[in-house]
Amino acid sequence: MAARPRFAGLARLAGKALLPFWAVAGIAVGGTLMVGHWYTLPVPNTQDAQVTAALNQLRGPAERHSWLLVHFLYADCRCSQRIFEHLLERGRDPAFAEKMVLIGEHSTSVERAIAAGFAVDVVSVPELAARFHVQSAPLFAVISDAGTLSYLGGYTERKQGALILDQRIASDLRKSKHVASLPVFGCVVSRSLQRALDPLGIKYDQKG
Amino acid sequence: MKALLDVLVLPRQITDFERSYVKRVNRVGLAFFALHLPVFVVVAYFNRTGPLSALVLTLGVLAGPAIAYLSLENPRAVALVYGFASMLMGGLLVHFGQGPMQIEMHFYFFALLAMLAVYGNPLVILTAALTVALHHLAVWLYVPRSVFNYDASAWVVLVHASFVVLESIATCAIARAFFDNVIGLEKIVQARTGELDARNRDLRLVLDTVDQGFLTVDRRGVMSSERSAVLTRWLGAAGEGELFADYLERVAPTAAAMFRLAWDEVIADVLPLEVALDQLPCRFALGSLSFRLDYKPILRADSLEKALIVISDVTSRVERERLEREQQEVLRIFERLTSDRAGFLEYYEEASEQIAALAGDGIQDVSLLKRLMHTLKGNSLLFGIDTVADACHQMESRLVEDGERPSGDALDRLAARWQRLHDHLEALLGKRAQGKIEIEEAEFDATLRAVLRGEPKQEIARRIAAWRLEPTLRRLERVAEQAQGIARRLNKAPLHVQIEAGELRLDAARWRPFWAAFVHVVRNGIDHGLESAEERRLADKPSEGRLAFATRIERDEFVVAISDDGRGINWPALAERAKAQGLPHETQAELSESMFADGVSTAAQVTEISGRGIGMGAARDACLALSGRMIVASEAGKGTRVEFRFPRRLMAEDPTGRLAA
Repeated sequence: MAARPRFAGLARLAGKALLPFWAVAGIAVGGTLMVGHWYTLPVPNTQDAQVTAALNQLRGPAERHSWLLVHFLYADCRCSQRIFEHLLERGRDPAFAEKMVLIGEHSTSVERAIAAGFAVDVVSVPELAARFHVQSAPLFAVISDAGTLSYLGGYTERKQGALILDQRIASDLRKSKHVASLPVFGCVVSRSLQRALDPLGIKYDQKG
Repeated sequence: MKALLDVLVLPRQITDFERSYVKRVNRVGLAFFALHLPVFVVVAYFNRTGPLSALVLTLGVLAGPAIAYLSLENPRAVALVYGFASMLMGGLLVHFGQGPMQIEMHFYFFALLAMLAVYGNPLVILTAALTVALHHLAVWLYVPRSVFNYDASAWVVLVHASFVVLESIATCAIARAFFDNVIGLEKIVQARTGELDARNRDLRLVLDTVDQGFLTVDRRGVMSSERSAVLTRWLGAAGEGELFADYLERVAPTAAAMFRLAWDEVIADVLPLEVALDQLPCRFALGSLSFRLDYKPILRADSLEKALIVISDVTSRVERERLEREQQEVLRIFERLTSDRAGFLEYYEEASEQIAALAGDGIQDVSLLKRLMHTLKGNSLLFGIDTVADACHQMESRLVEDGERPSGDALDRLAARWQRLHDHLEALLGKRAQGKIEIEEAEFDATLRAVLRGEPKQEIARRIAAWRLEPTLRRLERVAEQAQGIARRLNKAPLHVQIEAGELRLDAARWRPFWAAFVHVVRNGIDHGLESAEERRLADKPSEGRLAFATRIERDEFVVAISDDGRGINWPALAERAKAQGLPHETQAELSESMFADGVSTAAQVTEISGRGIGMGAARDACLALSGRMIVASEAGKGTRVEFRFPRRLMAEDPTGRLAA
């Protein structure tokens, strides 16, 4: 590196004055990013009848008495994309009725999901909140053959967990085993919550 | 708490080494942070977390270290900013690296905390750790739920934090140890150097306090830079890498020349080292100061590596020795006055005249000047006045060897010395002692008896006139005593002196120049003729040398004779010297004549006694001045006989003439 350039006294003073602002900004930006990752994403109330009804409406005509698996996946959410890829890889589970609710503007995802055998609903963010009271994704819901909301939560036991447990959860529920809801690791979908957690618009401008 | 602060907070003073080191690390650190930029963009690209966002945010974090590097003078402060920035960079990495590797990205924090130990400053690590803590605190204040997410218990958070705390403690300890033992090494070295300097100062104080100057010279004769300060005071400042001979030459050219020659011998390693060192000059004078030189060899593997030269100011010792010599001379004068008052007073009067003549600078003839100094030297030696003899010898050496007439300073010193002797003599005799006539009681009684017997007036007058005459016996006894002293001084064989004076008397004043010159013949006879005891034994001669003096009347001639049984005149050597001087040397008569020429001597070397080829000429001149003639006869291995023959009438003045005057 070349020799340190000679700074005029004023420039040095300005540099020294800038440093505290830089530090505060660094803490703020870092905190914001961290909040985005750490914040426990909200899950709709499983006792909410409106949510249960809205989910039951997703059944196809031939699926009235089937267990229904619903995957809420956000187009620009990295975690949702990971689950989406997982689902395509494993393919639709023939033991269950299974539906993807894709939030936002998915370009090729709809076609790929359909091609993989999944039923797909595309909803906008406001619609998602209005219909399902869902504010975050990826979110996994299991509705029993009796139409009750048996599970509403995340896919993995930990953030970016390698083991995606959707099929095991569904299988256990159908065997009437107790399954605790996993936390949702992913993205905030609700605009109001995004503004609250990312006031600087760093994370959710990118919707990552 | 104080102990903790002592560990965490470095001493305020930053050494040059630390400043340089931390600056260098800061420079590398800035480059390290700059490299984050492309790496984070790539990470964001592959994790689909927004390369543009990574570019902007990384630049934002990079701005801090860059501004600090450019605007903060204190490198430690820059390092603190780096500690803070490193944690922000970690935050960005975790954010942009989200995906399956996101957990692993957290290792960045632990790696960076450890890497910050390279600063050797616990505060940098503490700053980084506090940044993380502050981060969590800020987030907790803003969205409390976010810190304890995933329904994690407080214990999980505590375990998470404990690792950071443990690593921070360990890293702080390592950093401090690194500072104390590596970065602070300069301070340790400084402390040790300080101790050594203090010892050196003490040693130098000792060296500078003693009245001796110490220095070393290497084999080339180059002086060491470390030397006693007193040398500068005595001899002036020496240049860096200056030769000792050059240094000495400024104040003592003769000693310097001697040193140059002898040092070559020392280095040549031909002579035994002790012998070679003995050739080096051991004394020199500078103005009124006298110095002694001592040499101590410093050997490595039996080879001379250096020599320690000790220069001592021996002025006071020399002065004391001079005073002691003068005191001894005063004692000798007293002894002389007791045993041979007339003889000593005669020497004194003659020497006074000679010194006055020298000091008057009226003698232009170099030969005359040489004879004058030579005679004064010889007589002074005979009477034990060594200080005068030494002064004459030095002046004579300069005149003969270098052609330099006695300097004003040398003559002034001689005159001053003579004045002191004069003062001592006056104290012993009183001012009017020199004009008195002393007679033996026997002579007084004989004269009294002659008067009472009614002897003729002429006879009575002759007797009284004889009081002023000097018996040749006394003169010869004096010369004999001096001859024995010379033989002892020259380590010759013991000398037996035989005197046949024949009850003759001489006019002391008239004959004084002759006796003064006669001494040269005596000295030559002993110095050149008389062998050592060993030499005599090998030559089958009696161990005791024999010297005979005689005064007698032969018809109308008064004869003074001196003979010895020594090795005789070395005629071939004399011929060679005469030839070298361009003098005729073919016949015996020519050789005998050359003996009296100035500068011709058979002596192998010049001593304080003789050897300059002046004495015989002076003796013949004194002889001729009394209308005498000089006859020299010598036989190799048998001895030499010298006779002076004068008209009898010149022995003493007719008393009637004095009465008439």
